[in-house]
Amino acid sequence: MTQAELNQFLLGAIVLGCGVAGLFFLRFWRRTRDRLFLIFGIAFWTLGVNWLALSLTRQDEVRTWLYELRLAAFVLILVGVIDKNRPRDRTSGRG
Amino acid sequence: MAEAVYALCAITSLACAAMLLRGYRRSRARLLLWSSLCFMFLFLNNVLLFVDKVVLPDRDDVLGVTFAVWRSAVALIGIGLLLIGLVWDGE
Amino acid sequence: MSIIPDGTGRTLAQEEIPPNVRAFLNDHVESVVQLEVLLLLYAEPGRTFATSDVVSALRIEPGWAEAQLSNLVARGMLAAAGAVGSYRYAPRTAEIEAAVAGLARAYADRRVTVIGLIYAKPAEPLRSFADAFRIRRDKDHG
Repeated sequence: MTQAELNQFLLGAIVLGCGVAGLFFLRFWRRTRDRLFLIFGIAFWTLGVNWLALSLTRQDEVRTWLYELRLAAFVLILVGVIDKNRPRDRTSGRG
Repeated sequence: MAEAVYALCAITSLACAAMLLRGYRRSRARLLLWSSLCFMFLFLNNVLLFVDKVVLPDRDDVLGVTFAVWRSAVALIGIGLLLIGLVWDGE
Repeated sequence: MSIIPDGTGRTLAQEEIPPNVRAFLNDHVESVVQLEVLLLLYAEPGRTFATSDVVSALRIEPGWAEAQLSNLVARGMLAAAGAVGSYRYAPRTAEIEAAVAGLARAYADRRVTVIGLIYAKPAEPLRSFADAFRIRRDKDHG
């Protein structure tokens, strides 16, 4: 097996892993109705798409837009964290 | 521009790992430990990406293994640890 | 249980209990019996209670009462008062004092909700996961 072939195998596993992880997060979102899990689910699916695209293309040519997917995933996670820390304005009482 | 993107991803991963580790210490919920480890490996993945594209753009491999394989292996370990946590300790 | 549709998964009734009380329940209160023992001693802070007083007031077994009392001492809410088997309400910190006072009020007004908070640990790891991303360590467990 060449290293390129090994890399393809690893990427395939990663893509599937991200897909399953995303599914888990979406299931948690359904259970808890906590937006954070929805965001993490979409973020991990986005990462999965990023690695899927990486495996299907020859990196050098389409590098730029590819890493925008990675950026989008992490920005989404940041959005989730910021959202978690916003003061809750609609509820009664403190907090 | 690319450097900034990789740096942002790395910092975000590290921040998530730190927050989850702190949360694990508070709550002892094992899911947080697995998730924290995942984000540490994703941090490493982003660091390797930075090293690959920005620091050593002309090198293809380290210790006989290509950057691509290093990055993928590290990411896979991270995702794998997360899955263990989600399946085993996600209740 | 009406969940507030703000994406955080809380219920309306739980929201009305102060955050410090909720955190106190989460960290320290494991059963309704324990809560009742605590509030029994809280109601008469100057008085020294013997284990038998607790047993007759709450109609629980002596061994159980003893266990709850020593547990509450260990958690810094009660103090052993001289003679073996005597206790009094003596919160170790102002934080605990405020939380117990709030808890007493909450239990009087919203007994069912408080009991629900003691026993409802729905998807506990998930709540901890989400709470981990709260940056400020405010005593708000939701």
